[in-house]
Amino acid sequence: MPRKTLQTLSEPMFYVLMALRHEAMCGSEIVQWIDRKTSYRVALGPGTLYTILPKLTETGMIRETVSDGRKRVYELSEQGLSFYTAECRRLRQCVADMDDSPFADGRKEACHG
Amino acid sequence: MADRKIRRLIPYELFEIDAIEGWLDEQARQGLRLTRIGGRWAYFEKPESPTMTWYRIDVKRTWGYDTERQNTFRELGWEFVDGLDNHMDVYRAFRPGAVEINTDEEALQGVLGRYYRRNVLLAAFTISFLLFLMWIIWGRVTEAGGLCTALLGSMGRTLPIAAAFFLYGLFLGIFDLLLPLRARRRSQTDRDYHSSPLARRRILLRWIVIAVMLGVQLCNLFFPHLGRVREITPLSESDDVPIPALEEICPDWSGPETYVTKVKEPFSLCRLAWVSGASDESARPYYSVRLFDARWSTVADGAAREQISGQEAQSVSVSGWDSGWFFEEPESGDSKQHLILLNGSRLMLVEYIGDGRLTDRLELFAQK
Repeated sequence: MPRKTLQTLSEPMFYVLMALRHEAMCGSEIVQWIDRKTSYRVALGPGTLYTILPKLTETGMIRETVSDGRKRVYELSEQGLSFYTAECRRLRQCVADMDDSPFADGRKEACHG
Repeated sequence: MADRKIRRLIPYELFEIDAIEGWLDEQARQGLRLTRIGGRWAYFEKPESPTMTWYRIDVKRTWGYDTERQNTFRELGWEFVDGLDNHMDVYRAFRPGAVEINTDEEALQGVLGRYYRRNVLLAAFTISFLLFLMWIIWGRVTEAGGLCTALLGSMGRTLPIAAAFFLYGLFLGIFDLLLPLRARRRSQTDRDYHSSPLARRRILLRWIVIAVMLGVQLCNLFFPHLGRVREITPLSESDDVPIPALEEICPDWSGPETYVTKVKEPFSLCRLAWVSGASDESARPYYSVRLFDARWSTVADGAAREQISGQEAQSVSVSGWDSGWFFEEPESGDSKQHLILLNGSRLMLVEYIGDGRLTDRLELFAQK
């Protein structure tokens, strides 16, 4: 079944919430934080960032705080925090399920028993 | 030396952002620097020392000028160039390592949704409008007596153009309907799209053809006699055409002089038409002869069949003609007589309301 929007988060959305869970940030700081955190594995383009931020704002996950000069700063809302926590729990469960699986490391011989 | 200014038509639809980006990059490789974009046109200048540039398009969910957004883009290596439309901005980077503007396909497809829907609606409207136009034109064709009869008459010039316009419009409409679906399936963040030269020229081609079609239609509308030689000559001077005068058909009649109108239609399927009449259709007696020299005998034959279709026509034999038909139909209390004569690609249609019968005067229509 296809994933509905915001039912579960896309990887860039998840990392945006993770960044804002850490602290309130402006757009470019979010990108730089994700770059450092993932060692450039997750590339978040500014176009994608500014598609995600209004979507998360509209759904109440994040909110704009003070405008620091010409910059808008975003912070995680209570709703966003609980959603992020639930998503972390879901992802941990996914990893735990994978660890329990006999084919966890993807070895070929394991598939043949 | 001043920079040279160049204007080029954007050869893609707005939702094909990967294609537009690729096209702008290609222009940059040719040494052109984008200065302004919008309204389907891109304006470039050719600097004396070009620098390598990469162009990317940012699709916004809301429209308007957003300073904070542009500042963030600048911090991440992207310089604002111009707005492509209210929801799209063009940025450029001068280093290859700048992180791509759009990195998430799902987010991009989400904001492009409105462009897909707009194009599909526009294509559906175009197709519906063309079908409606063709329905009106077909009504006029039926009114004229049928397709072949319409082709022989004044519609002979406009009908092929209308048909070509319709077919081309239908082709474009279907293409426009399929294009968003194809673009939606394509991943636009991998920038691996390379269009054919024909695809690049399709928008230019579309506008040229539409302009030509409209030009021809406007010429038809405002200059109906363009390319047409119209002259009125006395009947006696047209002895090469077997058109009897009204006096010969109806000896008791004494009215205004019978005249012949010579109409040359160089662009229609009919090479030459002669129209003869003594009065308008409401006056009595009424007499009209139309002689067509069609370009193809199939059209003349088809027109003759359309004339007698649904009528109780009797065959008549007239010297110099391959076939002939005669029938009568009631018209405002009178009986309108029709004589149709066919000889290869030459077709003569005679209509008469008055004393006497055309069948008694058939020898007058004999071709020498």
